Parts: sequence; structure tokens; C-alpha cells
Amino acid sequence: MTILPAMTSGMRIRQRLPLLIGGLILGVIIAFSFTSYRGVNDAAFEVAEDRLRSLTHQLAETFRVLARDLRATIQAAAQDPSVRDCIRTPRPASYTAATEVLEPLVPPRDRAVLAVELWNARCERVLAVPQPMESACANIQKEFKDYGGKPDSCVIAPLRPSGDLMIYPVIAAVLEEGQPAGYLVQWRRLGWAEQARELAKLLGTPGGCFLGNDRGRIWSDLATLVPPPPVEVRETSQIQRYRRENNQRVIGLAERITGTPWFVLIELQEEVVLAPGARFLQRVTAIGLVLLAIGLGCAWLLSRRITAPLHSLTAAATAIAGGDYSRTVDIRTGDELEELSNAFNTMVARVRDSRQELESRVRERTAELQERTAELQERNAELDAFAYSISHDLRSPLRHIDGFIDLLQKHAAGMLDEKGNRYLRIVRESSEQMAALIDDLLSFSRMRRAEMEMACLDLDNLVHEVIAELDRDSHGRRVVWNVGKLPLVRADRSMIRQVLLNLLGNALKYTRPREEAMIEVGAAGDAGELRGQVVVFVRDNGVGFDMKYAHKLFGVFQRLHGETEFEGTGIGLANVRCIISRHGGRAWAEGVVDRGATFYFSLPAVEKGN
Amino acid sequence: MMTDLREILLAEDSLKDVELILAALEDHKLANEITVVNDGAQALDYLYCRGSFSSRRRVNPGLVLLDIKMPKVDGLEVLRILKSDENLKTIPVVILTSSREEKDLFESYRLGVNSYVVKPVNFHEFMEAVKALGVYWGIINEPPPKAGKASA
Repeated sequence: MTILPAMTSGMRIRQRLPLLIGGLILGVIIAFSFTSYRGVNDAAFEVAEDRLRSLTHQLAETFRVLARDLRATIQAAAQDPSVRDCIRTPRPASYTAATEVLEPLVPPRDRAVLAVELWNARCERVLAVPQPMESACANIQKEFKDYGGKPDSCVIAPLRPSGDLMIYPVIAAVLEEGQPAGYLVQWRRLGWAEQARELAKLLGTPGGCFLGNDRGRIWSDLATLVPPPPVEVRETSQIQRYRRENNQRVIGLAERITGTPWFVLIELQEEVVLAPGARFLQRVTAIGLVLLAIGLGCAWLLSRRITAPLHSLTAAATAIAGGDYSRTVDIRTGDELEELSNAFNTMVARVRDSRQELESRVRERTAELQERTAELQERNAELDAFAYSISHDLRSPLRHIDGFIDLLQKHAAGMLDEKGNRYLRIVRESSEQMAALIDDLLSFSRMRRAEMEMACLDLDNLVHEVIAELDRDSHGRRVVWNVGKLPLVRADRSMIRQVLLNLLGNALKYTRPREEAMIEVGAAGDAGELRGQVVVFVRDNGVGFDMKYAHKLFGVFQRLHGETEFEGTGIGLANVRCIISRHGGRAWAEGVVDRGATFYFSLPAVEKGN
Repeated sequence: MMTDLREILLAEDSLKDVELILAALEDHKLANEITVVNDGAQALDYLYCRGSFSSRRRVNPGLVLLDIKMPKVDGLEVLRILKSDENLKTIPVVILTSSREEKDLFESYRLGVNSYVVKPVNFHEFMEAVKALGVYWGIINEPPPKAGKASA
């Protein structure tokens, strides 16, 4: 029972259920048929054996009675005085008298009787009616002694073939003072064999009916000589099973016929015996096939009943997975499947409701977000305009301060002392610093608003160009530039130029305390969240920074070093981050105090083949 | 050498800038006569000899120095009117402004400005710039022939 489910585990229910049920029905049918067939066969054998025993016995009894009558007739004739006289004094008169007695023993109509002979004790044929049986020469005296017994008895001797016939003698002693003086012999063929066959037919013996001697291999089918049965049937009164020479299986039983040296053997063909079993098997098989067909049909209907709702559930689930929440399943089977479909419909309704709720929430949020975005954009524009006008309006007063200080210096050169001149110088320096701040702020604001012209950009060339420009301002310093192979990117040339100017310029600036500045520019692999992007890094051996302040590096006007250490307004890296993020990339930095810093930025890579 | 020095019209709303520009020009001994106006409307009045300038000599100035951010009519508007007037369009116009904005630059050149100069914050640079302007446009550059009379 565990094999079937294992075999059908990969199948669909629609196939598996009929297969399982069909298998079960088939198994039951086969087991039932087999045991029933065995039972029917056993019963048929039993019946056949009973019949065989009774037939055999009846036949043996019939033959016994026939033999007894034969013996009585011959014995009676043997006691006739003219017969004795004929043996004692063989004269023509006594021959005639004896012939008269013997002739009735050979009735011309009886085809079973062949001849009657009279023998003397010297084994000489004295008389024969109608003629002697030359073909069946035999030692009558010996046969009488062998099979007979007492002198006053009559014996039937064994069968023997004679031409086409099976013949046998019935011998009675002719007594003279209690001693056998001669023998009266009646030669018979199995004449009444036809009657016996009729009898056998009447008794209904399909198969064969045989007579055989109790010794030797002579067997007859009541008419002619036939081959003996292949097994010894005479020793035992058991039913034997064996194969006949025509290869037929038979069961046979032999019984001695009392008063004769014969056995009667009746054989039944197994085929005939087993015919009811075979018929039964045919019928059972036919019924089994019908049952199997009905079972398979029922199983198919049942599986359809189960799988059809499952299919409609699957179809509905697929439709719902595709976004069609209006689908429901209508199953009215009144069983667990209907419960399942009801639960399914409820679930779909819930999912639909919560999805609608979610969607409306998302819509609300999106609207809010759009509003906020518009607001922010407006604010941004305002801020930009503000920054623009501020930087404009701030420049004029600065210019005035600078200009009038100059005029004042010229005008009051002689009147001011050392201190006064220093104050003027400080005022001027301050105004210059403010001008630088404003210029940077302006450029930052411009960078945020400027249109980008995206093009395929060779970073290699651009880096070398920027280095050449920076080198002009780094006279007297030992700077080792180490530029690796850089990829093509898609970017705005002037903006990326600004980025490189800022980063390489910073590297140059913050390596100033080093005897030999080492600045490396290269490309890192694209991996993780930066897939499809090119990562470029600028590494220096400068003063570095504390990672604690890394988040401040890219802010506007954020500086990690004092004015006196390194000049600058703190707008460069803010510009870098702004430009890179406008390109869809990312900028970040790593550093260790006094060990140098590495700045990274990522840009969209140019796809190969473009 | 400086036989026919043309007048220079300076349109600038910031009096301090005017003073600095004049100081610069003076410092470099430019002898051209300089007329100063403080907004675009006055500049147009001057060019068209109307209003308070109706009595001036009807000769076009040799150079107009224009600030962009001015009250009433801004510099770009003045430039537009000037360059679209047959009589005035030959006058060299230099925008002298603190704006480095691309859109201002673009608009100015589109309207036909002759030169665009960003006022440096640093006084020395400013002086140099103004001086260069004065020398170039007032002395070196040949004005267009038959500089027409200012229109009525």
C-alpha cells in the first residue's frame, strides 16, 4: 500500500486517484479470483474423485457379477456327464453327445463367444466347437492352476491380444472322482465391452475406461490393446495423477475385479474436471473487468469532483495574483471544498479591502509628497534667488569698502601711524576674505542651478589636464602624481573638471607639510549598491582627518583646519558633493589624522559598446 | 592727440561706485567729459535729449557704461532700446556690473553689447579695469564715422 502513493507522487490528483482506486480494485479482484479459482478447482477435484471412486467401484462390481455368471455357466457345462464321458472315452458317439452339450455355449448371435474347447489332462485338445482357437495356444492346465485354485472351480484367465481382438479364456475343470480329468474352455473376446462402454457412457465418465491384467503390461480399452498407463495403478487403491501419451493430464483410479485377474481403470481428464473452474475464472475475469471499469469511472468522476473546484481555486488565485480582485470562487459541493472556497472568498475580500485602503493611503501620501516637493522646489528656487541677490548685493558694499580704503590710504598716507595703517590693512584683508566667500557661495549656487551637458568623458585626459594646471601653482614642491587607468564616464565636462580641481587641489594643499607629496588617482571596482557605476578615488599622504568629522567634510563652509594652517572657504567639497549627486553618484571620504586621506566619488559608467 | 574726445555716459545707481569709477578715470587722467545718470530712465532721457537733457548738445556719446541693476529701467532694457535704434546702435556700450550670471551675460551679448565687464571687488583690479576701459574705448578705439546727432 505504500508503493502506489510513492509511484504516483509526481502525478496530478486527477490521474492519481483513479490509478489508486483502479489499483485497489484490481488487487482485490486478482486476490478474490485466485482464491475462488483455487477453491472451485479443489471442489471440482473432490467431486471428480468421488465420482471416480464410485464409477470405478460400480464398474468393478458390474464386471464381477458378469464374471460370476460366466463362470457359473461354464462350470455347469463342465459337470455334464457327456462332457466327462467324451474326455474319458474319446469315441464318435461321445463326441456327438458332448458337442450337443457345448453348442449352446457358442450361440451364433453372441459375437462375444469365439469358441469352446475341451482339453484332456495331457493337454491335448479333445474337442472344439465350432473350431479350435489356434491363434490362442495356451497351457490351459497351467493357467487353470495359476489362476484357479480348487479343482471344482472355474477361472477366468488374463486378457491377451489376438489379432485385433482382446480375448480371454474361461476355464473349468472336468472332474473324474474329484480330480481334474480335463478342462472345458470357452474363448471370449471382450464382447460385452460395447455394453461396458455404453455403461460407462451412461455413468458419464469423460475420459477413459480400461481393463488390464493384474500382472504384465496388457491393457485394453475394452475393445483393443492400448498402451499401459504411465504409472503403476494396480498396487494402490489411491487416485493417481499422470500424463497420458497424448499429453493429456488425467486422474485415474484402478480397482481389482473380484473373481478375475483383471483390474478396471477409469481415467478422468483434468481438463474436463477443471472446466467449471476455467469457466468460473472467465466469468470472474469478465465481472472483474466490468467492476474495474466502473471503479475507474467512479474514481475519475470523484477526482473530477475534487479537482474541478481546485482548478477553479487555482484559476482564481492566479487571476488575483495578476491583480484581478473581483474574482470569486463559486463551489457548491456542500463539503470541505465549499468551506475552502468560502474561506478563500473571504480572504480575497479582505486582501482587496486592505489593498484598496493601502492604495488610497499611498495616493494620499503621494499627493502630500508632491505638495511637499513642489513646496520644497519653490523654497529652493527662492533660496537660490536669495543667494544670488545676496551675493550680488554683498559684493557692492565690499567693493566700496575696498575702494574707499584705498582712497583713504592715498589720501591720508601721511596722517596715519603704523597702527592706523595696520587697521586699514586688516579691514582690507577682511573684505577680501568676504569677497572670496561670496564668490564661492555664488559658484555653489550656480553649480546647483546650471544646466548639465552630459557627454562621454575621458577621465584620463581630464585628470592630466587638471594636474597640469595645478602644477603651475606648486613650484618648489616635490609632488609625485600616480595616475592609474581611468574609465570613460557620462558626465558634464566642466562640472567634473571642477570636482577634480577641488579634490586634486585639496590633495595638493593638505600635503604641503610633507617633504614629498604622494597623490594617487585611480578607479576602484563597481560592486554592491554601486553596480553600474565607476568609482574614482584620490588618495594623498597629507595631514588627513579624523573620521569623527567625516560627515562634516562635505558641508557648505565646513572646515576642519584653521585659516592659518590651510587657506580656503570650505565650499570646495560641498561643490563636489553637489555635482556628483546631480550626476546620480555618491561622494565620500576616508582618512586618518596625519596619515592621509582618500576621497571617493562614483559616476555612471559608460556601457560597453556605446 | 586727444582732439575730439567724446563724451562718456555713465549709468550707475550706486553713488559710491560712481565716485570710485570717476576716481579711477581721473586717476588715469582721462580727459573725456563724463555724464553720470543714476537710473535707466535718465540714461534714455540723455540719449534721446529729453527731460532734463533736452538742452544738451545733440551729439551721441562716444561710450556708454551701463550697470544692469538700476531703478526704473534696468541696464538690459536700456541696451535693448539703444541697440534697436538706428541712430544709437553704433554707440559702443559696455556693461559694467557685479553680476557674473550666465543669463545676464548671454542676454547682453544677444542684445549686441560691445563689451561685458564684471566689477572686481578688489580696488586695484577695479581701477585697472576702469582705466583699461577708458583707454580702450575713449582713446584707442576709433568711433564709427559721422557719429550721428542724437535723435530728438
